[in-house]
Amino acid sequence: MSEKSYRDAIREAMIEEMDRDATVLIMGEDIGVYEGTFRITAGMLKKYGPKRVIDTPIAEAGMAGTAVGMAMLGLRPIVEMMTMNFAFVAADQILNHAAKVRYFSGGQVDVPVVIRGPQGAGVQLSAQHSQTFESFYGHFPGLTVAAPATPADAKGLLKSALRGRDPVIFLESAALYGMKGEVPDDSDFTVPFGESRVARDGNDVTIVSYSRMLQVSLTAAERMSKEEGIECEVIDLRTLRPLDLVPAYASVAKTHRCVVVQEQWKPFGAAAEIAASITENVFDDLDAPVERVAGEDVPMPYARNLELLATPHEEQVINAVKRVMYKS
Amino acid sequence: MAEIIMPKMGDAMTEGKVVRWYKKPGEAVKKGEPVLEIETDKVNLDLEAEQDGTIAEVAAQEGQVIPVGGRLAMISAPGEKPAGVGPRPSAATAAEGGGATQKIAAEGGGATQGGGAAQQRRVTDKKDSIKHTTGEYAEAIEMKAPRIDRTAPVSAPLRVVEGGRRRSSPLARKMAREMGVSLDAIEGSGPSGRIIAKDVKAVEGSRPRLPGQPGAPVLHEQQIPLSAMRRTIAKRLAESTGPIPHFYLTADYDVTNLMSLRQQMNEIVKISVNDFVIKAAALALRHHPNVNASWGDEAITQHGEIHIGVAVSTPEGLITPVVRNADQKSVADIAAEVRALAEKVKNRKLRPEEYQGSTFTISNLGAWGIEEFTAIINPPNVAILAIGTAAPQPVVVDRQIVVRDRMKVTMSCDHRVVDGAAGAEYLRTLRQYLEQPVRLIL
Amino acid sequence: MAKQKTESAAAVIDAAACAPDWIEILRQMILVRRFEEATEREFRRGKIGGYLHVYIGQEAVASGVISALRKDDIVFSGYRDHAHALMLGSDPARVMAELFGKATGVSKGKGGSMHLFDAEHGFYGGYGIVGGHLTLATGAAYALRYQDTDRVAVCYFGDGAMNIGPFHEAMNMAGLWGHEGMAPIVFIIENNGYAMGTSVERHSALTDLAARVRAYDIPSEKVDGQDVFAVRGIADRVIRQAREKGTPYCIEAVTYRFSGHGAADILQPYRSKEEVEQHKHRDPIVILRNRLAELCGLTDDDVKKMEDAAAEEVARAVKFAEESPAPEPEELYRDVVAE
Repeated sequence: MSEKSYRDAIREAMIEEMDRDATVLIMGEDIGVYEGTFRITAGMLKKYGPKRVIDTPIAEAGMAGTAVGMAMLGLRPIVEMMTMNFAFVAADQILNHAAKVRYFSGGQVDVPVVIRGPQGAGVQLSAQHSQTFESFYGHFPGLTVAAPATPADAKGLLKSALRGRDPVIFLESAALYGMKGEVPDDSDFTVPFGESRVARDGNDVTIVSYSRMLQVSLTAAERMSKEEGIECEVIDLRTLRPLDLVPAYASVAKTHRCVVVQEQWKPFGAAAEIAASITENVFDDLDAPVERVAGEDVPMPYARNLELLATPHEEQVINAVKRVMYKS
Repeated sequence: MAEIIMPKMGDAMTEGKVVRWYKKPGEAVKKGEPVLEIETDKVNLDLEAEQDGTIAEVAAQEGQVIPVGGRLAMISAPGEKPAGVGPRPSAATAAEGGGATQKIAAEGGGATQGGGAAQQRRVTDKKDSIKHTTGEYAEAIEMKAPRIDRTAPVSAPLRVVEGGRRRSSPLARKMAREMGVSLDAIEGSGPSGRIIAKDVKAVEGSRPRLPGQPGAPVLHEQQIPLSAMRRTIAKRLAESTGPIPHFYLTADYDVTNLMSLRQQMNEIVKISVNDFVIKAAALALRHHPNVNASWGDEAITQHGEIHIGVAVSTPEGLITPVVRNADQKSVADIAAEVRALAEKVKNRKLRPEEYQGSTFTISNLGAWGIEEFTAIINPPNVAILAIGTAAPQPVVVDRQIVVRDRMKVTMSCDHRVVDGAAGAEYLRTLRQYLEQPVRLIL
Repeated sequence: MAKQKTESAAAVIDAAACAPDWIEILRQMILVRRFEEATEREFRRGKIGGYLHVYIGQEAVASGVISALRKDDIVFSGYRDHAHALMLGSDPARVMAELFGKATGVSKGKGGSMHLFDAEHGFYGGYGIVGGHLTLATGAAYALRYQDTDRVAVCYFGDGAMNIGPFHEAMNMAGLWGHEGMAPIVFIIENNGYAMGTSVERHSALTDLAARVRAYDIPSEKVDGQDVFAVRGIADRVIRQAREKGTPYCIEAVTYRFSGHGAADILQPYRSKEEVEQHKHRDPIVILRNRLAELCGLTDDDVKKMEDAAAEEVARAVKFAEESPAPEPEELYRDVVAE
């Protein structure tokens, strides 16, 4: 075990897999000579050469599409999107091609492409640069969608992605890049997709979350414990597709109340899927409707105070917890 | 003989209408002459004869709507008898028939466009096609294979919705039902007067729970810390008998009513004796959470749910697939599930989550004619039921010898957790369910 | 649409005379033509659903290039893909079964006309988004070099695909990677004069399509797409170059489709009947037949044998498709992700 940052965990995952498997390569804007806008790929061009570390033009559709073609012919390309916001330009290549080629060919090819990049708000990058995408990509069968909340999961999930046979959308939280955590040293350490984990035990309320909002939920849980004596059980989903809600169901059967926390807008968001599934499966054990905490339903504004208002805060999670406990 | 069919002119088209006939049966046609006018959602067009011939049959009337591929007319070749046109030929022969009269593209010629007999001579555009198109698109989207319903069946026994318009949380309703309490009697403290769990709980204390009442106590998972005496009993018994100190209790049940009920049910759905036993054992466990438990170094865990392991024998040995929440499933559901699990065992497709996690186990050797036997507890359970064969036996009732169906059940108990009296009490409750099987369907 | 006879095409004619290659090419073109006609018939009968885009009139563009490929080369195409699949060697019965949506189809009935796929024969699809597959082909070509092979990728697309975003991104990346010898790809523009119902003059600011790819440093030339000798001549040369140097090339094949854009394109309001009739006088099958008759005595009887064989093969394909079962319901859930 060692302590490392979320960013370094991602970097290590890629380096370990590139060392281990010659078919893994990475392409992206300014990842080589410039060494990456978040310096995740620093030194990699020098180590692996320009055939395996490809500086691309600013052409996300080109990047995603050529990666699909490479994957179909036996390579394992990683596409670093400078931010996942830019991947909208590649929407057709990802959603109409990467997600579907296996299916409409009747299973004749694997498409092991990993599209990864930072998402989320927090440093006044305004409306076009501040979004999160789990519900957008999670909607499409054929894709795998990961959203790690810790350095260990970031490393383990990325390694699983690079050893798999399917397209993976790897959503990194930019706000968590500097966060430190314990990461296993074993170079074969992987985290499987479709397995959530209980991040915190409790008997009073279940909070379901992922990515950056998981950390916000844990903060809220600590405060509730200290200030109100309410013990929240916090579930970290880790992947949105495949989605493992079994631990959440067991938890809600025990606590009888649930709050789902997500960063982006409430309408048609990931929390809607989670809340509906919990209601369907644990209906008789619910003492209150499942509540959702989400970002404000507006494009992200630039002004710092407005940006803070638009992003979920632990205060909102606490209020939601109190509501489902009928304590507000 | 050539056939003119209703051609598909657009990918969403499913039918067309005959507008008017230019020719009558018996009339001669020349190659390329229009025979009839059809209407589709997008265009009106003429369908032409592919070859010279005579109209042998007109299969659709003006104004009639014909599905794509349906027959419109038959044209006999010159010299061919027009009479005796048979029923619509199969698709294969229709294709051959069509091919024989179809020109094969030769030098300088064009490829034939469209199939069957359709080549437009006169085409008119429809202006109001949009509303027709929408309808046809919906049909086009309809699946052509049988739809599988993948929504998981909500396994719940029949529940009566209580309280009319009273608002209540699902949990509150469940609790009230299990307590045998009407929601009408409860004040709701939630928003809009919603009755919530704590409101039902508040009423609980004042209502006695009657034995044998439909529904049963709510189980909650709880830890019972070990007392000094319990630790001592456990230690001494373990030393003398191995890791789990077993003792055995046998009860002999009258299952005449059960067999009769089973016979009636089998007219509708196939249920085995063991399926009833599973349900009975599960319901009985609700009254005895101390038997639905596991031993631990620090505490005994009484489980919050009832999962029955059902022993299934295979060439390699014994395996126990689990029927989860058996107390909440109907006997029919249990029967189906046990069948499905046994099938999986046979095909070696049983997954770990399907044979792990039982809280109590049942082993039935009745099919082998075994009267009674002792089974070994399946850790981490603390008890197991060994079910013998159900058979007619002579018994004395009112000083007369009568024949009743009898079945012996031997319960093995882990003495660290279950004492003799506790085991006996369980078997007594089980008797109620097995000898009065109507309780199983209440 | 000037007829171009390049030097290499003439050389091919003289040297090959009636080499079995050309007989085989004629046989394949006839088979494809009969097959496509059959698909139109079956569509009208309601046996084929969705969209149907046939290759009638464009056969030489497929056969001229594909006949020059090695067995381990790969081909990508848009949705007008039946000819490519057949010429690469897919069983016509399984292609027809795919169009009928049967379990025995090349894509297990889950792709349909637009998504024929036969990796075993080097056909990597069959795509329904105009211009969407060009990047895939470019990436695939990169992979072939990355793996130290000398395999070549060929990417077919229509004139209409040249205006959409991913076209430019793919061309630019192919040109760029070509500088490193990592783009062994030959792009074929199937310029049939129309992007569905919009002529080249009305959809492309610059109508010299071959010139447009040179903006991405990809060399290109035009060819008369109805003359399979001409197409094959260029194809031999540029495929060899791609194979040896890993550099991209683009062939603009000027051709014409005799049928509508798809089965629903009945009115064809964008072109006159006279125009279509005029183009039918330059039928690639007829052009090849006549030349083979002239050069090496191919007889009407020889052609009739090919026609009969093709008719039989197509009838067999239709029968197979008719008799094959629909995919079982469980198939719905397979191949979404690797099991």
